[in-house]
Amino acid sequence: MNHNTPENESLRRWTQGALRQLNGPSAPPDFAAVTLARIQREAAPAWYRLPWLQWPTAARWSSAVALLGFTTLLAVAGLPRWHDLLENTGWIRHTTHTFDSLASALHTLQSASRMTWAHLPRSLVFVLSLCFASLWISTFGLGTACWRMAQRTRHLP
Amino acid sequence: MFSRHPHPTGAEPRVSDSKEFEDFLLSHQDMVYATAFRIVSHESEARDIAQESFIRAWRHWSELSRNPAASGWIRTVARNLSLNHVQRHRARWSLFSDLKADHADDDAPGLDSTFSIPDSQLQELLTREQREILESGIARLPRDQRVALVLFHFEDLDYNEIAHQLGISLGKVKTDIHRARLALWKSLQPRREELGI
Repeated sequence: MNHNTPENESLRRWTQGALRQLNGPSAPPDFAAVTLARIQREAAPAWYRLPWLQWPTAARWSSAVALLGFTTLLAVAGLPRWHDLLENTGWIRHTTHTFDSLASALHTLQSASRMTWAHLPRSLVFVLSLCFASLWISTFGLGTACWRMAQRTRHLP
Repeated sequence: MFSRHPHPTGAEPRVSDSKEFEDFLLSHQDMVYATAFRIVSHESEARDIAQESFIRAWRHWSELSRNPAASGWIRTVARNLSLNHVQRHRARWSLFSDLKADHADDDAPGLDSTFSIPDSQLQELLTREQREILESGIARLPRDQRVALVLFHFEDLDYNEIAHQLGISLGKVKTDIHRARLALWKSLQPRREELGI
């Protein structure tokens, strides 16, 4: 098919002239607001959605201390001793009436956990603790942070 | 409007950036949306593409804000995103029909229909009604014809660039554009006859 005929050229010129006169569709009225809101969300995600290394300093320290304390409690003290710890903490014991029901529930849990504890091999407890700690670490984004550090190191010359 | 969180590209956005960026968005939103809409011919998809274009502009705002070619940059981004969208859609749904059309184009009868456009109509000023007919005519064109026509007449790409961008033969580009022009010309004919032009 030959496209270089005078007829095609006149059609091209007509189309060019006609299409130049079109204004084009306008963006919807709320386009700017919606786009800015979307950019705002992407530009400033909540701190807990950022990698752990970019958390606010206080949150980073608190999470590290919480992680360390919790893991230590779990691995060293063991589950049954938690209840003892809570029960012997005065301000918790005497705070409200609501705590009594909680204490009762804890007591039941204590009995069950003591029985379980007595039969569980220590090595299994240790492994379970490690698993839980790993889960905790990944939840806090430390895993992502470590991975990023490793990636950065790998690309160094 | 924007807080001073670390920028996704690693560069810190400046406090003054937000106002500048809002101005940029407001002054370019119609152009970007129109570019996307003419290619994809679908309101919500055009809207998503236009939004994505501005999000990318924001990510590169530290360089773009001082760049006089920012308008061209965002238009190119919108065009490429729209083409990607159209081609993804094409690959997903229309592989066989397009292959068939590719071969059919070469020997389609009656394409080179000879007709002449009077000189008086070459520079005709369109009425509002005619412009609306043309706009809806563009939207109704088959996708391949519409995209090629828009790239040629609105995005000012030449035939070779269009063929390269769309990954199709030069012959198909020319045929698609010719068919699209013919369809648009014909869409205005009834109105011209009514007016006795």
